[in-house]
Amino acid sequence: MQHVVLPLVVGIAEGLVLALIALGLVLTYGMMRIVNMAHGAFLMLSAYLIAVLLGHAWSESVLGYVLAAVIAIVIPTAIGMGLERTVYRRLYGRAHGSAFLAMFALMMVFQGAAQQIWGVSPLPVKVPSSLMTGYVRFLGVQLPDYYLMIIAIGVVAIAITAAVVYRTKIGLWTRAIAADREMSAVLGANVQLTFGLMFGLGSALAALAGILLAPINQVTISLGTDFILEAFAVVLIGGLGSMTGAVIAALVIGIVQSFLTIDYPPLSGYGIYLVMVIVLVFRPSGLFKTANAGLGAESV
Amino acid sequence: MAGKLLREPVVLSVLAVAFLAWSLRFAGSALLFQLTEMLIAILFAVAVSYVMGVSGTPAFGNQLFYAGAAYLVAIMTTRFNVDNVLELCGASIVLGVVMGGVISLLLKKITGVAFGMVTLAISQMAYVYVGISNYLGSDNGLSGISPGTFFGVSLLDPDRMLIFVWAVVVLGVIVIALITRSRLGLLTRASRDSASRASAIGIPTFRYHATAFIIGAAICGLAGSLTAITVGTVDQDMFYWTAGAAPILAGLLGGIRTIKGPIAGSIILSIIIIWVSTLTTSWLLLEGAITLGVFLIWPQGLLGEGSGSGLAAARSLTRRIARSRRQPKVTSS
Repeated sequence: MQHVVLPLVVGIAEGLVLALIALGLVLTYGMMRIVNMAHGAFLMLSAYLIAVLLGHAWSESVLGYVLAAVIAIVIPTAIGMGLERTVYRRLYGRAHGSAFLAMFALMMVFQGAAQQIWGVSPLPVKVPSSLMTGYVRFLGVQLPDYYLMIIAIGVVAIAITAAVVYRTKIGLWTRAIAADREMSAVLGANVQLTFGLMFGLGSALAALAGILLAPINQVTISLGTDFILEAFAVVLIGGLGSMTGAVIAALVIGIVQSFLTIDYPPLSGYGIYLVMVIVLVFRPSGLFKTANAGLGAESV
Repeated sequence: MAGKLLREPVVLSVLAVAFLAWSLRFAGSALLFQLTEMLIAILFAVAVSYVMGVSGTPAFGNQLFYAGAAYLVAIMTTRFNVDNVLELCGASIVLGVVMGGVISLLLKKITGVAFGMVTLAISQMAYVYVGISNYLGSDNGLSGISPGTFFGVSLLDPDRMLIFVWAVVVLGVIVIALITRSRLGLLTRASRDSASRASAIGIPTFRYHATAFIIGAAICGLAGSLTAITVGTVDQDMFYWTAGAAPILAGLLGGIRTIKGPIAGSIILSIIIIWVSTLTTSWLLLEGAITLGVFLIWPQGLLGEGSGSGLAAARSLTRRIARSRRQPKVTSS
């Protein structure tokens, strides 16, 4: 039992975190048709912020941790929204390939800045011990508290995102803009506002992922780039415009990775890329087709 | 007409020869090493820009061919005692052609950014594989690569290495320039500009995209072989996707659809690295900021084609200055 339940729980937890990152990418792509390479920057930033904020006297309690987490989400989100108004706005009309590369340059700027501020060594993350060291017994297996917390938070975050996209007016506008931007603007959708808010939502999700990942990964400048590639693979496997696809693909990959790491370590580094190559060769637009997304040949 | 066509190659040739002369005369061995690396970066950037700019295929995984060739050279020199640089370079080109050929078959099914991501993923898989393979040095990499010999002459001396690398890079750039200006290049560009229109008039677009990709892969492999003999070591990080960023950034910075663009871009980025690394460690920040800044102002790069480049801006500026000098000032009443 131990062999199955523990990796499953860990896999679901990591899959959900991956889903959070991927959802941000899907939101940006669906609306703006820009594959946001710099998305990982928000993740990296929030991880650094939480590392820096924790370990002080005021952040030792659970409440303090929550407060630190909120700060570590708000700041990258604000920066994201600021960037959207300044940098990303300039990229909307451009050929996809070159926007992608500009985002890469932006990512380098973030990494360089982080390196200058915090140096090259990984930062330690001191999460309050009550959260990190507890266990829950379930079906005779000891499940770490922290991973269960990740699952809970992940599910809530995804549910909130789904509620926003499918039940609010701005979510309606988002879906309309993703389907046909000009027509939606003609019909009264406030494109600027929608872009800004949705970009903020995506950045917030990435920041949340960064906070959840910080204690279980090394907080270095490559944190953003490490996960962004996996998130992209998830988005491509799930289907570029599809949120459901992204979440499902992320969960599947998280679980598969988890079992591979335990049962067949040599394959664990490849798993996700192999799946991506196989899926894309047989179904280039991903597992879940959306009406308007899908990538064709583009010029740079 | 011929004058205009020849202007660019003549300028580049003169600059190349001047560069070589200056380096051999004035550069100490440390600087020679960095200049050699800069030359290799130029070749790598020109190859990647050919695939991305002229052919229009986002190529985020070309470090696969670069690193793969470097590792091939490492194995050939350390385990099989192959010393002849012509064999080493030749083998690298063949590797590039073979690997590029296989991967280019995917172009039939996936195009655009998705293809780019797949090539990236393949490079990542290579990264993981190399990391766990003891034969390939796992995470320590392989070292002790001999600088090789050229017709019996050892390239250990930095001067000789620079001359050899210079010659290979110049040759490589000339080859790509000739291809770009040839019928092959023309049809490739047509396929890039509008796949539907091109195929409507009978151009087999897949064939041209695939050929461009293979050519790019071969030249990237060549660059990789040069890096192996210059630096003397290889490690798995060369396969990591951020290693493929430098040529792409250089191309973006300079103008990804031209030859002079990636050359200029590589030179600028190399100078930043050389200059900045003596001052601070912030070259990452600087490179990213400069590239992004240039891209936002001039999307076609500094020396790119079309109206969105720094060159075009400079031209229109000089035209405006010339015009305002000719016309007398008119005041309206």
